[in-house]
Amino acid sequence: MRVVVADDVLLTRAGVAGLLAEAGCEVVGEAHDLDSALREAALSRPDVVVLDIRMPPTHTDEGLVAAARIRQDLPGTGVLVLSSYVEPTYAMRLIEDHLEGAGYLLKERVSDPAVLVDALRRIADGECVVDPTIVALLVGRRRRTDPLHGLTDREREVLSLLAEGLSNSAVADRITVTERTVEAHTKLIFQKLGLEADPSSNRRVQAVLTYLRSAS
Amino acid sequence: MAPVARPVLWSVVVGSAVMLTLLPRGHAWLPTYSTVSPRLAAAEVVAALALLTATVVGLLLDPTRPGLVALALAAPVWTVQDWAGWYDGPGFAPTAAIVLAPLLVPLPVHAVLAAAHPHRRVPLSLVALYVVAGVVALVHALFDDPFLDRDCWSTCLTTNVLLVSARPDVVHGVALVWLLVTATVGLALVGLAVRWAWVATRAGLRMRGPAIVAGFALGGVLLAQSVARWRRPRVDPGTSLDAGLYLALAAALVLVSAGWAAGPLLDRWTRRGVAQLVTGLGDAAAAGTVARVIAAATGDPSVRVVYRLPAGGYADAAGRFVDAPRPGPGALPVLRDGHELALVLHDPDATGPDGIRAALGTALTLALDNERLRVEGLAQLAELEASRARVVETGDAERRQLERNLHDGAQQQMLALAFDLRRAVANAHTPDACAVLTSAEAEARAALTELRELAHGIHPAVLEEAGLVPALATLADGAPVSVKVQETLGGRLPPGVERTAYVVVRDAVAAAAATGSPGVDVTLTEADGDLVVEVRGAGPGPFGSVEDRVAGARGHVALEPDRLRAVIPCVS
Repeated sequence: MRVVVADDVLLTRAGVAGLLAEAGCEVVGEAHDLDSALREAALSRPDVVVLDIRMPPTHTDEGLVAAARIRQDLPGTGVLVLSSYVEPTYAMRLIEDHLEGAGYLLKERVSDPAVLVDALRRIADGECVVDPTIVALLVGRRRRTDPLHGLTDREREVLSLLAEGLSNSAVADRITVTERTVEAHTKLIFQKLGLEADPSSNRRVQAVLTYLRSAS
Repeated sequence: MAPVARPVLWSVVVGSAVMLTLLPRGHAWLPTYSTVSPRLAAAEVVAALALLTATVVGLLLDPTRPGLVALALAAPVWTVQDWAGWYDGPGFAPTAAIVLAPLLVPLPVHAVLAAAHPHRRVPLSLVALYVVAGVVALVHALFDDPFLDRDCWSTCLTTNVLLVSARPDVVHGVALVWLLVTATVGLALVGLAVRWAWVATRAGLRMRGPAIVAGFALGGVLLAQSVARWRRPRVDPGTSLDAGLYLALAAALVLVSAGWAAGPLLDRWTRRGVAQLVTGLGDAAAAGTVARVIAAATGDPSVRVVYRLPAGGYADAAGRFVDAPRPGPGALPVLRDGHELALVLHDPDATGPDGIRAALGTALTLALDNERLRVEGLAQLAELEASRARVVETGDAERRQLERNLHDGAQQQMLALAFDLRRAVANAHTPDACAVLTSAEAEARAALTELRELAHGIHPAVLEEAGLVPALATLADGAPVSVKVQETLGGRLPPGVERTAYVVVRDAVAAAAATGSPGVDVTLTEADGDLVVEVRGAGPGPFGSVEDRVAGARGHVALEPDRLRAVIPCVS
């Protein structure tokens, strides 16, 4: 897989690039700010661009801005935003803008090459990826009358995995059941929460995240 | 001009009055103005009486007022003109008329200038005019023999008792020069009057209106007279042109008298107004009363009073800091024991420092001192508030910087360490080394999580980048109790306001968690330029730090049972 890494901190950029290289990915370009990230993406046409959320010039949300531009201009290129912030707001902004081929992961998560490569592969396949810490925060959110109380532990687990952006088959792999079982779980969860089941997994992620954030 | 002793001026007045009774009588066959027609004689008397009356008004009300001497002298100089043709009267009479004639230009001009600008020094041009008039008078005295004057008419039969040697050519040349000077003065005076009227403020127009009219009339008459003499040098009181010019000059002199006397009369009038206003000054006078009273008394609505603060600088009556006013006319210092208490700012064209000082008086100075004390307190309060706001802002800025430093420094270092450890695990050769490295990597990640939470606690970056509502949504995501946020905000608010509101909600949520409340309801609304944050369900508090923080943003907190309401102004 061909990847561009954009991060203004050399240490982190080199670290991510090193991990990717060891995991068998080809790092075809590196960038250090918004403009160079866009330029590298357009030049190298990678499968995925890995973007630090906070880069020059303003050190605020350049990663999200770059992600939106890349998804718009280069439909074949996915984006993975790495962030130090457990911010559902940012994650949702990313997938609201472009449902497919986008991911939001905490930086510390990618020190596990398996997680990083798995995320890149899913993004390259057009899925979306949401960091489990963020999903856990939303699922564990305090609610006065919690509709999630009606879910079994297994159903909660499935709901979390759906929110992380996993497809039915990926969920099935993760919890070692058949895909049909996952489908049945999904149907029941959606029924219990009063959500409309959407066949597209990405739209499903958005629906679940929005639901988790709004129910209080 | 140095104040001339009152007795001298009084004797000038009496002398002029006596002169009026010595008018040439109608038996002369060479007529003077007063013998040509009763109309002209009446005009002469009226103008002379007007000048004398104005002089008496000045002597009684304001004997040191500039222009008074010029006005006093104008009366005899004007009256003596009519003696020019009095060939069968006292021998000195026609001579006095000839010699003093040039002074009839600078004296009334001086009175007009002084009336328009009582606080300005005598302009150099006026001094020059006096000098030139004096030289012309001297030339006439020494060299002018009326008998040899080719343009003589009414004066031909008179004798110059001061004559040294008859030099008709010199006299004629000087007379022509003097004609030019008079025309120039007339033109300049008309121009000045127009300019005064043009630049005057409303209050200035009220005070200087009479002087402006007088200047315009006098300038016009001087100009007309010069033109008439240029075209027909011979003076003939019998012609309608010269009679008309004489009438016009008499009328101009009446206006000059009125224009000058208006000054002391108006001052007197406003002072009486002040006396009435001051009696109405209560102890509990509202802020700005002193300035209002001075404005009402002087008729200058632009009057303001700024108070000198002990720590330097000035504040207005409401205690707001103001830029130091420029010293000079229009800024009158009020002193006590040589220390400046306040500055009275006024329109220098409308009121002079004397008018302001007169308006101030004892009672108003006392009121001014009271107001100054209150202003000092208010200014200290304002400074304290500003200082508190600065402390809060500085604290915020430092927290933001700390968060950035953590994010860009320690967090990145720790991240790189975690990456390195992970790669070391992959390359470890022995199971023991692998176990140690794996555990080290887990510790590094735990440290990263703690660093991240620490940084977020110091300053949530999302608040700055995305705004209050997204920041509160994140707060709600991770809060230990349920947090419902309802908002009707139009968009982003000033950064300080957003941070303050965030702290209010964050601390309320923490208080709710501490008291075991099931959750809080937060509503955010904007009303009259304020952000209103209402939190229900946060328990009874205490909310001391919230109150301090909101007060630091110049807002206030209202605490009711189970309801906290913070109002934060969005404009400072």
